[in-house]
Amino acid sequence: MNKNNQAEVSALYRQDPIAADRLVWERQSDSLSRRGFLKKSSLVAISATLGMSIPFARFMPGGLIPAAYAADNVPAQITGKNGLIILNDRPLNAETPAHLLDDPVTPNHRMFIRNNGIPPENINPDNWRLQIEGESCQRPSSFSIAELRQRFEAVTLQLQLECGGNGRKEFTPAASGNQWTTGAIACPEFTGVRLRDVLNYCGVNGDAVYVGYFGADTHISGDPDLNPISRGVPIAKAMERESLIAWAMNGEDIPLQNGYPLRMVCSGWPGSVSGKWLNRIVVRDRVHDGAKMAAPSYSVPVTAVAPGSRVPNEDMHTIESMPVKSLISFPQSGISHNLRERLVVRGHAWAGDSQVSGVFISIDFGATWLPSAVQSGSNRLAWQNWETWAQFPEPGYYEVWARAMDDRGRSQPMVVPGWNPRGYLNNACHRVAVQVV
Amino acid sequence: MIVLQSRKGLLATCQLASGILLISSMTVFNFQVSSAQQIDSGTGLKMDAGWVLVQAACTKCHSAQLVTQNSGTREVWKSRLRWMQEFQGLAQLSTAVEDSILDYLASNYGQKEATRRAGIATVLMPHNPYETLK
Repeated sequence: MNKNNQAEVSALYRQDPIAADRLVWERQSDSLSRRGFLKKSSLVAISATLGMSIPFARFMPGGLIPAAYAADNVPAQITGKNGLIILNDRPLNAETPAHLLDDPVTPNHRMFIRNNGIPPENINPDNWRLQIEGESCQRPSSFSIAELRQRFEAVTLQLQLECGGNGRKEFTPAASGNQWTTGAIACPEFTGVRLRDVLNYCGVNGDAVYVGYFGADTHISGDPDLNPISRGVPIAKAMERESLIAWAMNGEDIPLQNGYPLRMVCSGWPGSVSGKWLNRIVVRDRVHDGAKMAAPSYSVPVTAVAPGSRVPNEDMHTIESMPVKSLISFPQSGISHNLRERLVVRGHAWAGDSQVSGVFISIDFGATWLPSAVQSGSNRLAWQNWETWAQFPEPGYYEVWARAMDDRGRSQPMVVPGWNPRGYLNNACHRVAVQVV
Repeated sequence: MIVLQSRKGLLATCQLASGILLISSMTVFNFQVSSAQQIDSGTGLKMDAGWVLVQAACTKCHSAQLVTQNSGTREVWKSRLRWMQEFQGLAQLSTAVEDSILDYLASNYGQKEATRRAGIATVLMPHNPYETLK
């Protein structure tokens, strides 16, 4: 279809979507559903025009222009966010440039967005319910957010969340999915109740193995039978002091795209274990089998594989703790710096379930390393802020590299670590470029 | 282009006037841009032969950005389609449509150059006092 036709179709839909449907597709509102689902005949017409059948066309509401004919696809501003780079506008995925993550505690408008589905709309937190159930739950119960606040001790913890695929862009051969660079990491302060307090209140059988979540987001295909994502954590991780059911982030409502009005936070593991728009928790007597629990999702090969290997699902296992990693949040890559002045270098470091024992920087491509001053985190599983400075010996092009080490002596590689089919766990050292003049 | 031309004949049986209009122009349009390598401003897709089919098949569920930021061989792209068909509700495609889509993806978003670690991204580089190699 050429641009003119595309524009005309779009204009018509804007003016009178119902009429446009009738004209273009002979689509009429279905009196039963009142949502104008496609009549069978219209479906055939659309499919013929596109040269294929439309998946889940039966869920396509009347007056909605098929995306294939939309004239523009301009991402709207993300409400409540600022400075994020959109990798994918449907489902919405956006990361934060490293220099905008300079705050010791990540502000709400700087936290990355990793959506698998479409967030719910018209949320009324007063009517929100959280159901606790599952084979290994003794007393299935339902709570409003007010009841959670009233019945359990509220705690505030600074907790880091990082997408398992952060850094995926660097893998070769390319791994499928959103091509995150360095910005799918955040460490805000969450307020909520301990997951274990709620689970213990409802009674956990001795045979409990896993805690799974369900959220109110919907599948991008529109199929109500498909769940966008339903993951979780083994019972031991769920029972940690720092695993929360949270309703606030930095003292405010959690941003819509980060799970408003209620989410799970199990820090140190891939962000996907921490369900957003949380409305149901299941205590399972087996490993949870929700959407994206099974390999290859959020899984890596059990033993290391050569780049490009085709790895069968049975040779993969689910990622648990994330590896040690750090970020240089100052300076911004690309600056020019005066030779006579020291350059302050600072950032954050985190190590999954472990602590960070040291962060080192290099200005000579890893030949020598300088230590930095690393603060302890606000609490376990918070990232740790570090700072140091560099003095450059002569003008020229430099790269400042940062390398963190965890409390078991494991440090970040300088090249991209073990290739895996879905491109997870790239904790190669962060690099920023500086021209010294 | 051969595939698309034959599709035009195939689909001309469509009784819907608007449908025929759209298909004809779709085919002609692809013809015009196949050599030029323009970028569609709406989706960011390279307007090479088959791009409209990719737009139609892929953007019903997800943004075209999920296409343009990825890369891989024809076989890799095929395995992505199969995964979406198995788990994400993508419908079966006719062989002709699937072939056009895979040809388009493999030739426009092909496998990355092999490197253990690429240089820092161009957008993150400082001002260079020297001329750079083109």
